[in-house]
Amino acid sequence: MRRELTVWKEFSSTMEAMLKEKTFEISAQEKSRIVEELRKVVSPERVRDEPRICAYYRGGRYSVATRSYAIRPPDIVVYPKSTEEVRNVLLIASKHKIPVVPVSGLTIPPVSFVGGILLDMMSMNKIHKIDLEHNYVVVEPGVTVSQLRKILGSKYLIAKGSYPTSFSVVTPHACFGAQHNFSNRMWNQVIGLEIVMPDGSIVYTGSMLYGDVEHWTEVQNSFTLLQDLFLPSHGDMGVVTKAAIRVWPVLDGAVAFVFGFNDFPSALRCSHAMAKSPTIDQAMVYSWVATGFYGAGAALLLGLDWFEARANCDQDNPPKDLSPYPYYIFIQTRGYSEEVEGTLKAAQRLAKQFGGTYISEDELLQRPLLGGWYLWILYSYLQKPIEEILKLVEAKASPAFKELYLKYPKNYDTIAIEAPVLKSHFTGRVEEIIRFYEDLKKKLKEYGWENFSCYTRMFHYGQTPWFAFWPFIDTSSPRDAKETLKLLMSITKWGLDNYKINIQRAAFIMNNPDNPTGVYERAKPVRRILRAIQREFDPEGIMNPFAQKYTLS
Amino acid sequence: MIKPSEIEAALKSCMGCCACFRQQFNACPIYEEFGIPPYSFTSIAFLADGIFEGVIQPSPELAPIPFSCTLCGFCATRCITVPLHFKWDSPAEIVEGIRSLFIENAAIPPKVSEVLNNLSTFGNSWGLPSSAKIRWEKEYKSPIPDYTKSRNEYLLFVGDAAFVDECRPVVKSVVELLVAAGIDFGTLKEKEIDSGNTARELGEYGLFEELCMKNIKMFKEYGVKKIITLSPHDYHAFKVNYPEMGFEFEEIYHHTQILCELLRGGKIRLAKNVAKTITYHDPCYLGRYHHIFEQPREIIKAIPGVRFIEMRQNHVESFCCGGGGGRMWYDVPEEKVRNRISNIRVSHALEVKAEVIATACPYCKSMLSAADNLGEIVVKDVAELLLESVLEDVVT
Repeated sequence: MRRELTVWKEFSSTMEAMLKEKTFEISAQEKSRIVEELRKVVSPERVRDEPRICAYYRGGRYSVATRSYAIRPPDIVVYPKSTEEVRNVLLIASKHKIPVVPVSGLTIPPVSFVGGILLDMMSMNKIHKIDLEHNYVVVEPGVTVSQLRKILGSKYLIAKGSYPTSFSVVTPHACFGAQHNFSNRMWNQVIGLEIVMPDGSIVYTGSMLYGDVEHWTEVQNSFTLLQDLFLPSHGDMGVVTKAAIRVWPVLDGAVAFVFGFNDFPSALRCSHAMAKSPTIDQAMVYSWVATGFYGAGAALLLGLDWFEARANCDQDNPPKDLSPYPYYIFIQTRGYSEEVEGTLKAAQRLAKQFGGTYISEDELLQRPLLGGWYLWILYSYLQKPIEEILKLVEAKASPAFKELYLKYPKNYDTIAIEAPVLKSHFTGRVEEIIRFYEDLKKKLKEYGWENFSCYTRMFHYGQTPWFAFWPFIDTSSPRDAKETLKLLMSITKWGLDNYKINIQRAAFIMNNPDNPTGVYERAKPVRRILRAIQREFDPEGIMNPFAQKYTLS
Repeated sequence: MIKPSEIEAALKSCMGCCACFRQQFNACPIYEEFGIPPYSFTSIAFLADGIFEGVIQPSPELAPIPFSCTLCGFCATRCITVPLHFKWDSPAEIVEGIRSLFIENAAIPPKVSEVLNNLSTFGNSWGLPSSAKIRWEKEYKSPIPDYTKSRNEYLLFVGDAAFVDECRPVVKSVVELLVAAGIDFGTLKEKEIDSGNTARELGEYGLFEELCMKNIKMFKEYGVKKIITLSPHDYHAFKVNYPEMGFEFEEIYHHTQILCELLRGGKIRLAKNVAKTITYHDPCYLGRYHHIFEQPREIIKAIPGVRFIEMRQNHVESFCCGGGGGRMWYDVPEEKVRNRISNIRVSHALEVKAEVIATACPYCKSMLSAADNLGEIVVKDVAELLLESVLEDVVT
């Protein structure tokens, strides 16, 4: 039986109380005038103000992007089709001083709403260019991962990233800021952006800055790399209308290898050693509970409710028949066949050195729990076509596995968040993460949280290891919401204060009105620069309308 | 039937990832029809969430959102939370439950209200007198046995097909084939009333129960044990909902199942070439809901001369015709942005240069036949095609 996430309710009401002060009010007459004006610059049918259309954008309480703290839905929804239309909408909004919030990605609001205009960018869904020679694509924000993947697949290319295929390609790369909870460590995949600023200026980053060049390339000049201001910036500075994103050649093949480990430190150290290889795209450590989460099978197989299952899963002691090891490394590689072969050999040697065991594809597919996770890796990271995956299941999977997965053949694509408000991402050095992890276990135990799940990820030759954990909150416990929220905050603050780790994402901290960690306080000079840009391009302050303490306005 | 508390619990499983309508190509028919996310399962889930949270009141203005859904169940094939959280087969059942919240608040589109009134008053969605149910028999060469008198082995449940012009040939074809194969069957004649599936799909659970109980009473009175349905929607009601109401048939067949069995057993012999390129449109309630994919295809492929070709979306990925979930009657007030679902589906058949779209549901036949882009393509039920091959004198 699913239980109420009271902690979320509590948090949500706090946020709503705070944001109520910022609610944008518009009279019916004014709204109708603005709608008329908008309909002159965007096709009338793509400017909508009916409650049934606007209501959608208030989201749901359990949305993946963390429910927006919607005081009320937008007053007007616009579905622009071109950069010019976006520009015209922003000019009208500036004239009338109406807040504007662009959304793409999930299309559900990754932001807070206080009324005003919502720009749903999903109608801008053209793929402008696939440059095979220089390995990049130029896409509009409405292009979904599946849309791009279909085309890239036929050209033996992949885009890095692990987001669900229903998401926009651009969003995890470019369109997030303080209001957006998605991060993918993919910022360095962006080589250029086209951004419409609230005053109607169109800003290009990368080589497009210099005019009508044939293709977008990265310019090694920090001044022209303005895109960083629009990527993990503390707020939306403008509306991204095009993004040039790197894609990567698959060559002879993209492959994933899996290794089992008996403890977290060995697994993490080994994954770090593996990630140093130039043939490794990424290396991740998963706790067995997390493989169940991604494999979407643990709870089902254990016959438990999803929440309960994970609340009852012992991180260090997996049921051996389902999962022989408590921790797993998966590495992703692609390249010429000799490189792939060599990578496996090197990875096997390293695994042995750190006490790990290689688990072949045949073995993985005998176990629904691990097999499900492996299929998800193939689908989500390696971007294998679903037909290929189904053939693999048909050929190698055990009967129990087949029964479960062939019933829902398209369900490999999943997402990692149940209650994003309760999940924390950190970046740090390997030994700090290990120290933090070991102490975190003890710390959580002190508070009665016996179990939690985690995974780590490394890119860039192991330079940026990061660690994510989420405790299992047994909401039926007598602990009240306030106490739970306070506890989560204090654990995260404790982590930040005592370990050399940085917070990458924790919605309940990012959006906490008291900002207890002081994370953003460290970025004061950055905020000054952003404020200066905002004064220049957005004098009316229509973008990023939520004056939370750490944001721009 | 789903209770409000169960809907609320299920909604917590919806993470709003939008995979249900935007993961790949033509997935959710209403998203394809209107092109904006407010028309999607995610949107319906958000709306319900708002109702349970107490910040949204069901109203006629909001009603087009839940009532736009065709209940095709495609979203279930994409939703990651379905196998984990939903004890139901499809989010469609949740949509039915959400509609019931609107019905409780008298917040329903007028056309839906009219259909429900028809069901209540006339026992059929069309508001036609019961005598209309047997009009098709007049065009049939020999009398159809009255089940209430002859207590045959099988009850042929004609359903809505009896009222729809383009579906009467389907009824006649099935009857003719059953007769040719020597099956002992009868119909309820004017006594037949709706199985209740439409009421359930529209979320009117009270009316569904009423129709269900009336039917059960009748089935018990006449000792019905084996039933053949023409509509996959009726099939679903009898197979899934009636046992919940305490009545189980010994055997339930959709007509394609029994025809396939008769074909396999040599009781139907094929005599004539049908030299056509034929594709098959999987009705949602037959395919996705009950995994009856192969029997209709087996029938088509068995017909001599047929060149069978699949559309790009088939089997579990089949794209809806647009007629389920009450959309047979209800047009969402979005004329300016509409791209008719049936037109999209017919475009799939045009892509593969099909001459005939075969299907196995009266709603599908009706919707696809009304598509604007049909051109030279003909829409036929599998039974009609089979009959063409059986009878020597039928000119194809």
